[in-house]
Amino acid sequence: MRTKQTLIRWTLVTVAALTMLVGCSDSADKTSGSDDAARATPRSELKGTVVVSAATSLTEVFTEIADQFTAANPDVDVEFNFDSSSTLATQIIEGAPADVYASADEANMTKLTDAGVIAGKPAIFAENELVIVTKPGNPSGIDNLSDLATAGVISLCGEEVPCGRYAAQILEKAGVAISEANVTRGQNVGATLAAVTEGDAAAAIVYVTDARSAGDQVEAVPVPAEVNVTATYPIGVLESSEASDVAEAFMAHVLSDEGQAVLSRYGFLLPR
Amino acid sequence: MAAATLTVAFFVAPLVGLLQRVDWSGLSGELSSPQAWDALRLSLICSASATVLAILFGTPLAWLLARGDLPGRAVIRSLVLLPMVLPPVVGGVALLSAFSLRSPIGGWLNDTFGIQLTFSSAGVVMAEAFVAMPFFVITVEGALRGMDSRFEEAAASLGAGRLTVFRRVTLPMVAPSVVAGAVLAWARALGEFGATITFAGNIAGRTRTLPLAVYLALETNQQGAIALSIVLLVVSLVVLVSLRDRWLMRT
Amino acid sequence: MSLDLDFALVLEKGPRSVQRLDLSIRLVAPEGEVTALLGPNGVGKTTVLRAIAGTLAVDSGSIELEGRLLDRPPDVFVVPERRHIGIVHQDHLLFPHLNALDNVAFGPRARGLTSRQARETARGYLERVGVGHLAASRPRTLSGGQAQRVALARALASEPRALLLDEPLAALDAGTRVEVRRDLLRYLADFAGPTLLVTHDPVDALALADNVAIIEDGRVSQTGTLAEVTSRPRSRYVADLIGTNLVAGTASGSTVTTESGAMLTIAEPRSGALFVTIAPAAVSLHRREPEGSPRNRWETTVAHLDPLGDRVRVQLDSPLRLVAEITGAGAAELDLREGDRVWASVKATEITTYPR
Repeated sequence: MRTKQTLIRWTLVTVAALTMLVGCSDSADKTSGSDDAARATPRSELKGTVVVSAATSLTEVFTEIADQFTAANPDVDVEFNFDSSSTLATQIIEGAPADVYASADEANMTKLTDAGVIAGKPAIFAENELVIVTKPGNPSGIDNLSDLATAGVISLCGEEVPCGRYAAQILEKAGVAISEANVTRGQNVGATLAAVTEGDAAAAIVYVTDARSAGDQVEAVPVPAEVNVTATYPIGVLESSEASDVAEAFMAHVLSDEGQAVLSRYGFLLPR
Repeated sequence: MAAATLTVAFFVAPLVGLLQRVDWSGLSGELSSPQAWDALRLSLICSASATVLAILFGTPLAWLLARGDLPGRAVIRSLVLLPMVLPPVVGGVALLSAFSLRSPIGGWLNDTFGIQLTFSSAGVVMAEAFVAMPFFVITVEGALRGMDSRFEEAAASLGAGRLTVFRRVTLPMVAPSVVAGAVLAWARALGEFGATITFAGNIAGRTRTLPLAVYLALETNQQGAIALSIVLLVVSLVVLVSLRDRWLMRT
Repeated sequence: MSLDLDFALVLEKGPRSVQRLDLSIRLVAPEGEVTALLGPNGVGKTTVLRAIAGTLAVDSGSIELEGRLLDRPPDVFVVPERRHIGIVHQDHLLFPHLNALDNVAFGPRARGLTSRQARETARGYLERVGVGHLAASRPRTLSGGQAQRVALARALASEPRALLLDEPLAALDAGTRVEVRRDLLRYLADFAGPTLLVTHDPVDALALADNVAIIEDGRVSQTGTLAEVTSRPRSRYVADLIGTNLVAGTASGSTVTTESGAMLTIAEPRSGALFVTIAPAAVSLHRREPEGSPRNRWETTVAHLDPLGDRVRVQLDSPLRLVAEITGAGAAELDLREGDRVWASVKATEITTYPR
């Protein structure tokens, strides 16, 4: 009897709390709406929230681009979901709500266009290359790709994750085989890099841009141009987007000179 | 009533969802892949080892917490139970900061004995024990605390020394809780993901346990992931059934 | 060779020491005899046993068994497992995970016998207490009486030098209690060492014990045979136990002045501090002031009435708070009610006195 009452009481408390939350967000929306009316910024009439699902390697650069975008469009909110392109693609096919998808490879974008969930045609907005990273000072003495076969545990992205597939292509072109027993697989490029910066992995193959943002936590060893691969980053708006005008505006901003300048500053190559 | 029904539905729906997506005809094929077997074998070995560690080291600790007259017991208990509430990934990072090659302890172990815990199966066992042992300790401690210590006094009056009393009276009397604690710890170890992938990495055959394999397989081979999930589900069910006297049959 | 107790110990129970037990015990329990510790509940009888068993340490004084010091702070403390003291608890405390035989074999095994020898010994003791056929039974399947016999066998099988029985019959139902009490008497007669029996039931003490020690307020207030103790009660507890009135006073010739200031006339002249006992049946009650021989008569108030079979116990108020016991017929005739004024009288020859 007593527990039943307690249960009911808790349920009521929970419901009340939820109601308050909903109420709050309602009123917040209204406030921003009236702000909009009051300010009536001439530059933009866009409003709403877009969810951008983007590859982990885009975390920093996209955050900065979104800041630019929202500065220009004060009534717009950009929310991010960063993970490996393949995880994001799986989530989107499973129906995860998103408005924009930015992948680190074309294969995953193709998966989505084949599934018919991309509206219009995706556009390439950046390119990237891969690099070997070691611990600061390169304690394992890794000078080239073939050293990776004997250096101990190497951190690579999962085989279906773009950076993992690129790494496999590079190693194959260079004729280097690393025993799978010495490979720890990161679920995305961030986790792959962390195995070197936080953990005990001897080296990792990651994007040039990630190596750059890791700063002096790692030392970069270049991959020779003849075996390196170019990662191409496509972006597209989802068919299911409920704020497709904002989503398209965001995509346009990434492709604009302003957006491209930021990408370039982070070490991305601009599409030819 | 309605709330309770809803809650039950909340627990049942994901299970039904999972089962409904199983490709039963392809299940045996998915499970007989060497990768699945490797992951299952590794999972069983590592979780069993972690459980043995939990019993060996957790029992004296539980006894000390329940009966010992040590200062700051509440603080020690909180520290020991911390991994229960800590996000496992944080636990993994904490283990890294203590036992990675660059840490004082990990470095010393490697320099002196050539032992590397990160990226090793031993590291998996350690991560699992770190997360699972508190479940064992708290269960056994509760049983020891609830036990009538006059039985132990009676045993002493019959001429039994402290160790004999513990072995022949205390332990058998809390045996059901020791078993329950071990099963709980084992189940927790078997499902361990965050601390393992953070501390021990994700190396096929060495540190890629079943939950890690499920996560990785979600990308490449969804049916494989579901098949592996079914294995974990079956194991969890077996655990629950073996504990039914404690939970399911409670009236 | 006996069990010699002369110790003091303060025990604080509860998280905030709500209950404080202040014991100061002097007692000798002779070997081959049963000494009953008799006293009201919560007076610390079990605590005395725990001190002897070694699960509590005394604060000062000593505990000695057969001339061997078991506890004498600060230098001597023998751990429980080396004291060779057998204990039978009220709730028997048989190990639930062992059958009756292995419960009894536990002691011999702990004292170094092989498990076969220990079981053989255990079987002998089970037979002796008449439960040999229950060797394979788990404790929870035993009746209260059976469990208590197994518990006794277990205590005896460890070949103790002293035996402590803590309310061994209290948890049994009335029928079983009589039977187990009778058997216990037989087994205890064979035991060569001192036996200490804690009980709050004078019937147990009467049936089983050679001597009694009355414990009140943390002290041993009276010792002796039960007959000695009850014929000369020295405390309210013992007086209540045998249902008599006990009054402390000071005599001068044939007049006793009680502690409450009342005066009593006694038959034999005495002097100095003494105890006075008056049997309740010797107190007569009257509606009017009685005439004739009784030298002791006074007016008082009925505090309350307590029917007891065909008799009525009447508790009287000041100046002397005595209990009078009258027949039901007498009570009806007097038509007594609580609060009534009555006259009480006692013959001088009905008053027993003995020095304090």
